[in-house]
Amino acid sequence: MSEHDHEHDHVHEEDAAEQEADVRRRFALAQIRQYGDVVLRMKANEVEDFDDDLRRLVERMTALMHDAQGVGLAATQVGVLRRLFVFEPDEEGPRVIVNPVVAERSDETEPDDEGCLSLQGVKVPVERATRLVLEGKDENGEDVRYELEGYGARIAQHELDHLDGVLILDRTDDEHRKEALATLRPRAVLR
Amino acid sequence: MAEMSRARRRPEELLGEWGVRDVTPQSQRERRLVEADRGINPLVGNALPRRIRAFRADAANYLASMGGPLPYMQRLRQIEAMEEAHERRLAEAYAANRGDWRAVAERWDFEDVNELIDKHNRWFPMEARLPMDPKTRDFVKVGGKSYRRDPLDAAWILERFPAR
Repeated sequence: MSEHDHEHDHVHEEDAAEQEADVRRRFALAQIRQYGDVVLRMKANEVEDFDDDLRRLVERMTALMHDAQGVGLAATQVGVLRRLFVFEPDEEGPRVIVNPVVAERSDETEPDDEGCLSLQGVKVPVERATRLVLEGKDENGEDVRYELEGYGARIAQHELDHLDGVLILDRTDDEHRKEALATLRPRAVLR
Repeated sequence: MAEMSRARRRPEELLGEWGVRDVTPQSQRERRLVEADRGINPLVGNALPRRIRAFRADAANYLASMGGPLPYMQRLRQIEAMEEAHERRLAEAYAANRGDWRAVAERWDFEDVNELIDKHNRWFPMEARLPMDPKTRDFVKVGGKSYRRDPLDAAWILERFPAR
């Protein structure tokens, strides 16, 4: 086989992988609640039972987060009113926190653009604390404590908001909220 | 006077089933523009397709894109097929039974179908993005019933094939 053929096969493999990732993403997004779904505005309940059900939910949410190519996913985003979220603040793999509580939050804040798996096509600037310490439990009921900075702290605050029914639309300025709502509004388009 | 002019109107005018009428200078201008556009615009006269800008995949979209039913649909179909199969086997056993039917019912193995029912109860709301009722904080009913299915057991058998 020539070098050209190898290169050609490689391109085909990349295309196939990209297509598969796209299908996975669409399939995951089809299971993630989208803006307009009332559950996104509801406050989640504390988790009381750390059982197999919870572990299975965490496993499923982690897979959905990866498939949807997101960095965080709260239980309310999949229609489950329980206080937990999965997130990936760095390259060390996904984390989970159940019944999260903010133990410390820096006074220093920073604005940055944020998107959301439940608000497709929207990116708005949101002011967040730059440092955050979260305490809670893992899926087995063991205590966990995460000291987060920058990007990780931002993701955690975003997911915490979801557990209280708060969206990035509520955290951005009027101008960006209007733009975002215009994007989210159903409209007639030419095809 | 008003009564008189109303009496003279034709029935089609009252029904309003007529073409575009130029009632104001503005509407006359708009009509002229539309007429001028007709020759060059291929969309004139065709209904515009509507699309939800924000992605909200539903079962129909998924079926169209993947060329097959969603996993939760397949699972429900499998549950139904298994229930039917159990019912057929139970009918045969019932006809042949000469002993303690209640004991047979209690020993009947539903593990295969109950495993699927358990998966359905756990994942259906997520997979189907079943809407939630904010008042009850529970999922809406599907066809007037809860989406949850009871696992099959001896009571399910005895309801269909009572002990003699």
